[in-house]
Amino acid sequence: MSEPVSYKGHVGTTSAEFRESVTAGRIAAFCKAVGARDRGVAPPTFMTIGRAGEFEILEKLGFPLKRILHAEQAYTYGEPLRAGDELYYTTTLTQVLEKRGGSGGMIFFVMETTFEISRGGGDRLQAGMAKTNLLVRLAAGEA
Amino acid sequence: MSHVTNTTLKAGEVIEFRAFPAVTREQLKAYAEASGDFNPIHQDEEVAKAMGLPGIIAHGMLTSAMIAERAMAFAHGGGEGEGKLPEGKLIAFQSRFKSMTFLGDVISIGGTVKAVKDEEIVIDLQARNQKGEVTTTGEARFSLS
Repeated sequence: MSEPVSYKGHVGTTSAEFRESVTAGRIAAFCKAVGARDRGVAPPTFMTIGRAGEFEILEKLGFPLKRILHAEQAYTYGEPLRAGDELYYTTTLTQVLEKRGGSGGMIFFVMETTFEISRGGGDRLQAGMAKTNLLVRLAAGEA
Repeated sequence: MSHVTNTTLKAGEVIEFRAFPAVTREQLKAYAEASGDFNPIHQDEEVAKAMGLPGIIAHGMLTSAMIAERAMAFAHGGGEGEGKLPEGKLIAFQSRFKSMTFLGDVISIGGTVKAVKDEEIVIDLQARNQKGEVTTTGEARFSLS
């Protein structure tokens, strides 16, 4: 049997910077889909619209979206997102945990994303951070 | 008057469980479009099974959003919300995904006030399915300063 591939060497990988436009329509659609009241600012987990960096890093490591499960998600908040804001974000792979066994195993990828907003053309404001723990299940014999 | 926490909340206070509507295929499609998470395990039965799942599962972040809504209703009110912390600013929110949610599952969310400090309130929440299994846990921190 060949040695399993370790992904720990990829810790530190950083995504491109991505941008999303926060609009009243997107906030309303998000609230409707999750059964939340629209309180004028984006709801607490709305920053999940900014996950392209996570997906980019995992895709490059050979794990397409369909293989990704979610283990944990944590946010800290700065300026709340409002309609009209432009949201900018960058993601870094900060930790890899590999748990392998005879019947396969799991790899946990921990990523941190920093969010900034541009509002009305001024300096960027800190909107918060996301810490995401994503899980890939390995089949028996899969590297 | 000294500036102490102007809340009557106490650690241990119960946040009653409230049910969200049953999870549907249409909801997962709407959530995928609203969130940008088009992972096919939340839309396509065949892909979900090929990935070793029993069937289509709901986005974990959908439950997380429901927990966040329960926290915001408790703190800021609106509709049937309690509005116990109208001035509280949400400073942190986290979710841990314990088990999967399937189509038709009815998720109820409630919990307790975990800690009341001078300038910070922490609440713990759980999402349970119709069998009473905890699918997801959540914690919300509100600043009162």
